[in-house]
Amino acid sequence: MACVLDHDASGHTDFTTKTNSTATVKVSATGQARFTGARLNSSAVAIQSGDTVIVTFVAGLNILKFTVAVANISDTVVISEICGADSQILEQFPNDPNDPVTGFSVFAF
Amino acid sequence: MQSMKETICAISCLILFPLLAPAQNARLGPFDAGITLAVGSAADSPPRDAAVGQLLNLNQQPSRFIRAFYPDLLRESVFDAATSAWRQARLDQQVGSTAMATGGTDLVARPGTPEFIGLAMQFGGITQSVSGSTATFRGNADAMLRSLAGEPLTCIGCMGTKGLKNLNFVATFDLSHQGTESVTPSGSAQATQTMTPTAILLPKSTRQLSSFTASYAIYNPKDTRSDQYQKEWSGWYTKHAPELQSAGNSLLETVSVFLDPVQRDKAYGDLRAEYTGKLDKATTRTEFEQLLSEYLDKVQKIAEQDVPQLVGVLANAVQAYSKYAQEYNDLVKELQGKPQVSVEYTFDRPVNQPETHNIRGVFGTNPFGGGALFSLNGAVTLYGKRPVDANYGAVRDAQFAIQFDRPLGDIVSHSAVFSLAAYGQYQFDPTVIKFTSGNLAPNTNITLPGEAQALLGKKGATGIAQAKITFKMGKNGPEVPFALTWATRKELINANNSLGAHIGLTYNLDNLFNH
Repeated sequence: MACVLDHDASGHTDFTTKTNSTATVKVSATGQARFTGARLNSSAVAIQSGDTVIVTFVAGLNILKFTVAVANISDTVVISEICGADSQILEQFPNDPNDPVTGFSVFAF
Repeated sequence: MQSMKETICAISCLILFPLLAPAQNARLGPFDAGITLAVGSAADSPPRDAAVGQLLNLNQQPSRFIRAFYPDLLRESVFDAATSAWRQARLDQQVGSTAMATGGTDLVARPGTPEFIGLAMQFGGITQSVSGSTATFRGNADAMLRSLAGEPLTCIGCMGTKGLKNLNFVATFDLSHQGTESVTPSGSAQATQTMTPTAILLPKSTRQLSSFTASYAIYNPKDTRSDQYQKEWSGWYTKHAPELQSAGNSLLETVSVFLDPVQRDKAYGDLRAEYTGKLDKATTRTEFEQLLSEYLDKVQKIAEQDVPQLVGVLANAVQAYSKYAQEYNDLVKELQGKPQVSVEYTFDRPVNQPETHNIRGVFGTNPFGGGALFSLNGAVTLYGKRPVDANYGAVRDAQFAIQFDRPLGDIVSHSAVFSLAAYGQYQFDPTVIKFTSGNLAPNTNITLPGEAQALLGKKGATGIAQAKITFKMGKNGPEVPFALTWATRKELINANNSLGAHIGLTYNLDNLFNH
């Protein structure tokens, strides 16, 4: 299974993809990490097993947002696209206990 | 006097150290870590591009943008409940010395320790009649080794090395007591002087290691690096998933009112592309910060244009953040009740007294939940080397102590902690005092040819009660304990019902490296 999200070299958005493509996105950290909320455009997204969401991108701009909780407040949060052997890291950043919100924009064409 | 000056200097350093962080543009403050990461990588490199992407991404910790746009709307205090809530709520971390001969303020050892380094200056004397001042350095074995190996200090947030992460070392230095040392003169300095003393007593600095402690946390589910904590946290998430996801989705819905219209504006996409290119190429931090500041100005203009009643929308977002943060208080309250067990060994060499070995078991719990902590200690002290004809046994004393700590105010954002402690000690023989060679034998003019020992005071039980208030000087600042101690008697002199005051200054450097 190939990854569907590509880095947007133009800088207009974070990633590009094809319309109606589906991505499996997972949160992880050195310790325990979970999604506590997920939202694609104007709808909440179901969280599976606490750390995974599956989303399908519509044509145009898609805005995917999460709230993340980690057990160790100093941990590094990793948001990955799970695509079998080709899984890729989408975002990696030190957890900020001030703000659990993260996410990225995806343009589908 | 010199010792006092050095002590004051050390205290000043402890207080001022957290304030010496480099100044920064207040508006760019929330972006500081990202800026440092970006300018630390080469221009036009993939790491720079990734760091710039996260800096410009509105969805990435959007409170940064709210603070940059309207600092008065979103002050740091709004997030107090969430900011390092777990660390702020912990009462179990022992920073100062638990060796009680002189200069301690802590009657009872708490079960937890700093995950990196703790420093303490303490004044007073609890079990003995001689007051003193001590400086204590407490360090975690794993964190110190990582630091020495050149790994970043922020690795304090990693999971640590099994075994080592539970091991702490404590070194205590006695700053106030002066001893004497007998030395043999090499000869007379005057040709006409026929009598040269066989030994001279010289003042000896005792500003050296007075005690060393190794402690090991056997069970500590309050240490965020421990398997027990991670397991408890996972259980907490599972238990509270519906409430957490409700709060999380509510927060996302609220911030989307601000974030989505801006991102759907073509001008924003063009702006982001333009500044991605510019920031990728910036060569100095000054240039980088200037460009980022321009970007923020322009995004703010787009937001003011695209989001009706922007200030009200952002105020709603602030409320949503607060509501989300409240869910975390449940975690704090639930995990506070978990027990902790640790053991520690202390090698103590008090001035003019024999060396001792102390083995202490420490148990901490809060059976009633909330923010309080009960700490129980059981300890036994053994003498090191004893003369073959010693009139005292190998066991110096046995101790039992209990302490109750309660935050004054909110469980997370309290500004002080009140503690009540009781300590019982049974001393099997009177206190042993050492006389170094060169001292006069008691009631004579005879100079002692070698080291001698005498017994002072009397054996028996000692009871001590202590009331203490520990003030927290800011969220990440040092702590100042004030203690009043009442003792049934003192070890060295026959003074009954003595009252003493103690003051200290402790600093847990975990606070400095963890937001």
